[in-house]
Parts: sequence; structure tokens; C-alpha cells
Amino acid sequence: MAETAQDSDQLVSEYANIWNDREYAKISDVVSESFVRVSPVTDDEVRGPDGLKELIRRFDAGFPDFQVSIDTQLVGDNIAMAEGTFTGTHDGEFNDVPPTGREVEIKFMDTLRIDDGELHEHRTYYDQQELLDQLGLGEE
Amino acid sequence: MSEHRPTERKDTVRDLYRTLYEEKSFDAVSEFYASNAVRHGGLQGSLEGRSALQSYLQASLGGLSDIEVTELHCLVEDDLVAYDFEMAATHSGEVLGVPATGNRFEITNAALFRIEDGQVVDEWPRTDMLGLLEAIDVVELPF
Repeated sequence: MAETAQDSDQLVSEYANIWNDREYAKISDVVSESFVRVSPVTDDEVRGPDGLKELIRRFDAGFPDFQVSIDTQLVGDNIAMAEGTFTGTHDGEFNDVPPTGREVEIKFMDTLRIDDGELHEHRTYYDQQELLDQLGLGEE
Repeated sequence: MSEHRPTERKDTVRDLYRTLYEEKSFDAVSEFYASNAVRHGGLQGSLEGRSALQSYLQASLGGLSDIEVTELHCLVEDDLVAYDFEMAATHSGEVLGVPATGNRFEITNAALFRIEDGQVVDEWPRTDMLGLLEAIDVVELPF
């Protein structure tokens, strides 16, 4: 079923709220059973509502105050693409990297596939160098 | 404000990847980017103007061959175009100071463009150059 632009906007903002407010109970209202979240950059892939819950928990453990904001959003038939910012303080272990206490602000771009009022796929893109530099883990 | 149709803006971006990336016709920067165009952020910081953009393309793509860009999604809204794509290439020459490994690799990137009068005036790339270096096996990332 095709989505209206307004429905898609609404769905994407509900999805962002799940991340920002750690609304784990609402995950299955917003994403489909076959949902997949892919980070081609890090080769990281999680599946289904439970996979997403684990992923948000992983971010929450590493960056307990993290927030995402959507700065620009484009909506098409069954697709939304959003440019946004991830901010947070690295106060916990994240992907085996012990806390550095550093604050990060990372720009990202997301592609979201929408069908029948649910999110089916979330692809996220960012620059790993930006993250490493801000964590002070760059090689230089 | 230009009167170009939305499809034309998408085609500008598609042509840009074909010409500047796949064909590596870096001289065509002046065709695709406005003279005051800005590429925001990225590995070497923000770049402004055609000669900076051309040097960047030369440094990052000059040492690659058989570049293939495959569009995944392309959306246009007003003067903005969002694009994500897979890029396959062979590391046959020096890339960002790294000598050729001969490795064939594939990376996925995205970018947001603002188009005016058929030319890019702003580009917000989510280009993972470090991922590229990892893909050609010259760096190992901590995660």
C-alpha cells in the first residue's frame, strides 16, 4: 500500500522518538516483523523488533544521553530519506571501546523503507572517521 | 529560483556520478558544481569552490579504476536531492596517499545535494572514506 507523505513523516518521527525516549514498548507498533536495520558502513545488521531493541540498548549503554535529530527529510513513494545529527556522551562501553567521556556530534543520513504503515528497512550512513576523531581514537 | 523540473534535478545528480565518478572526467566539475559550491564536512573538512572539489575528486578517485555506481534510492523535494548508492572499484593507483593494492572493493554511501539552475550548490556527503581504506585492506578499525 502506498503511503501518504504525511503518514510517512509521522511514522519517521515516531521512529526517531523510539530512539530518543528509549520507547522499547512501542517498537513493534512502528517496525514490521521482518524489519532490518543496516549500517553498510560498519557492516552491522539487526533484524526484527527484538534486534532493534538490542541495538538501541547498545547505543544507550555506550552513550546514555544520546539523542538523534532529523534536520532534513525527503519523502517519496514508500521511501523516506533523512539527514540528521547524533549527539551523545561516550560514558559507557560501545562496541568494545571503553568509555572516553567524550561528547560526539555525528552527521548521518538514513534511508527508510515504508509499507503498510510500518518501517521495513532502515539504512544508515555516516563517516566513521568523524566518530573515531571525536572519540580521540583516530590514528594520527 | 530555477524552474527545472524535479526529474531534471535527479538527472543532474545521476549524470554527476556517471561523469565525475564512473568516467572520472574531473574537468567536468565546472559543469556540475556552481562556482561557489560547498561540500560540507567529510574527511578533509569542508571544501568550497570548483578547484578544491576537483582536487578532492582527484585524490580520492584518481587511483581507482572500473568504478561502478549503482543507485539504491533517489528522492527529490524542492531543490534537494537525496541519493544513496553502492560503489564498486579497483584500487589500481594511489588513493589518499595509499599505494595500489589491486583490490576490488564495494562500499555504500549517501549524499544530500541542493541544486540550483542545474548545478550543485551544496553537498552534504556521508562518504565513508575510512570504510574505503578498510575495504582495500589498508586500515583496521577498532570496531
